[in-house]
Amino acid sequence: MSRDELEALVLAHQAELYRYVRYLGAADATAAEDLVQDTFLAAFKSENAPAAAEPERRAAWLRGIARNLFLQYCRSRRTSPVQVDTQALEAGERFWAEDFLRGSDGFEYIEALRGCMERLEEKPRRALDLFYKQKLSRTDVAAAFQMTENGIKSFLQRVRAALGDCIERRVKTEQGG
Amino acid sequence: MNRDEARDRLVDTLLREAWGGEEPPDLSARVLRCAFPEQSFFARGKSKRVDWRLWGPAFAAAALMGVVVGLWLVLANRPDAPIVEDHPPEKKTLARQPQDNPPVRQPEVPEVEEPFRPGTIVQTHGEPKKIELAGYCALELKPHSTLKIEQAKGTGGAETTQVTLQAGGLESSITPGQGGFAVRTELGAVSVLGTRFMVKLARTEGDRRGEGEGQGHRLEIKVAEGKVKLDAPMGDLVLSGEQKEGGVFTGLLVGKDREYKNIEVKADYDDGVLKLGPRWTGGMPDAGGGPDKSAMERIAKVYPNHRVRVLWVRDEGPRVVNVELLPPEAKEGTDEGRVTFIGDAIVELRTVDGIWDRYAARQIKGDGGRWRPDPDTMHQIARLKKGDRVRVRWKYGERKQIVRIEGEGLDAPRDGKADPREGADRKDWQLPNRTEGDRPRDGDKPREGDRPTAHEKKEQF
Repeated sequence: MSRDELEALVLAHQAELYRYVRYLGAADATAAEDLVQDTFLAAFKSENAPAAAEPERRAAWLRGIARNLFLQYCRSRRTSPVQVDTQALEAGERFWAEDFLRGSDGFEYIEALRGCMERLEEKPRRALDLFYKQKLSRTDVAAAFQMTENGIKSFLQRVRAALGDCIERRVKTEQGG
Repeated sequence: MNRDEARDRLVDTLLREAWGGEEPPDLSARVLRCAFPEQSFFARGKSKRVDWRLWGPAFAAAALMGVVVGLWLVLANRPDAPIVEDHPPEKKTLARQPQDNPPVRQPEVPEVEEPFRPGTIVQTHGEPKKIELAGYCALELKPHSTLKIEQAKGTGGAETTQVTLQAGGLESSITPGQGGFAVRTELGAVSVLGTRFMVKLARTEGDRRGEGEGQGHRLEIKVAEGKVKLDAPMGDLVLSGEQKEGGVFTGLLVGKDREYKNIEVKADYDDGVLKLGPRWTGGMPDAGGGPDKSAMERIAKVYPNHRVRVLWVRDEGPRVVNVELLPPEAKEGTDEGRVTFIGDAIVELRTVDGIWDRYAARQIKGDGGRWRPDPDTMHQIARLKKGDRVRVRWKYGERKQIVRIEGEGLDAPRDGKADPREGADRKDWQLPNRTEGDRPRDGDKPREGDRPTAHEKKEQF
């Protein structure tokens, strides 16, 4: 693979791969960046890269490399950030490909999320703001809402589930379903 | 991982991106450095263990060379980068060097100006100057500008061509498909790929010499063709299509409506009041369109009589993308300028550098422990009139408060106005204490001199 080919590969797939390894469970942005970098370096050394004319196959191939590296990353850590095994990762890949990408680049799903976020009520909006934007710990968010840590964890999970339902409804509507 | 768990993780990931600003980074340069280390002297991807047995002697030799070269440079009193100027050699000066403290020895101007190598500083005075970099970046440096060439594509393994605009303006024409180009400024980085655009940076004279507070800035971008991205600390801005003009400027917020839909700002270096509103987003009103909520949230957090920094774009009119308070860098200082507005316990100056600011009478505890403006300062403000040249010594708490004010018109009462302290009744000139009932109602436009409400203070601090 030439320098120009590698650059084109990175530019075309880095955003999705970064998102993907965060989705798999990379603990933080630094870990995700390292995993993405190692994925491209492994792809660079491989001789089995699908042709550039098949971007979807290429993306799936890169995700396969990323999954293997993520598995190694989890095994190399004494305390894994998430419980992972090959089957769990394969299940994650199915959801990613079938529900998120849907034969495209996931843009539809992301746009639906933006639409759903605008309709959030005050309390969930504030909780998301504190947790995701201001990056407060669960303990601090729980204190702000006078809830227990487990309580705020469940609350955030319910908000995400509601957003997930909303996204799926929107995506179906967009597709005329 | 079941389906619900997968969906939860996906939404969590996307929320980190959409709400938390954790966008996927550009790792292309990093990956390429690791894949092709021989093409970059500083090739280093992830940190790897160094074999000091091999590298120790090399580092020692390099350090020795560095010391020798450093000594030679110090002894020769040479600048670390060539400076190219467009005026006669006798006027050459180092960039950011105080003009009243000329250098001991003037730098030499290279006879051959091109090609410009990384580190070169180019200055213009009366005339513009054309520069070509890396074979695809045609630049025109405007008069009275300073530009530093950071890197040129293809030199030393550089992936893109980068310059830093230190002052003045720059017009660029980039051939598409040849490589990236970025203009860095203190207010943000402008990056492009195949376009024609202009960047203009305005700063205070003191700041240019490295002496000022660095508080007054303006960065303007105009796009003639293609797409330009401004990456500034207060947000990103993509200029193309209908929105071809924008940037960052600093100024004084003088008005804001209670619905947070408009602000009025006196922009530094400009005359008059600029009115800006949020952009319209989301299509027609019946389709859920409306003023940009994010901008309105930002507008809610700033209030009149304070200096602000505004990220804006022209979309039919000037629109706010982001606005934030701009507190002074120091907790106290002295400003000098002309009086341009006198309000309740407030005086506005335009400083000699062209910067607008307002100064409030300091608050002291009066009878009954209530805070009120200092009568002596109120007395001085009452004697001022527009156009007076004054010097204000200030301290910064929630705003700039006057410690001492001196200058024209402060030695004797003006216009036959009696000294208010001479009378027994001070009600004429004291700022009336506003009660809760007097607070502006929603929908009211704030009056000059309005203090922030407790809610506004809470939002800011």
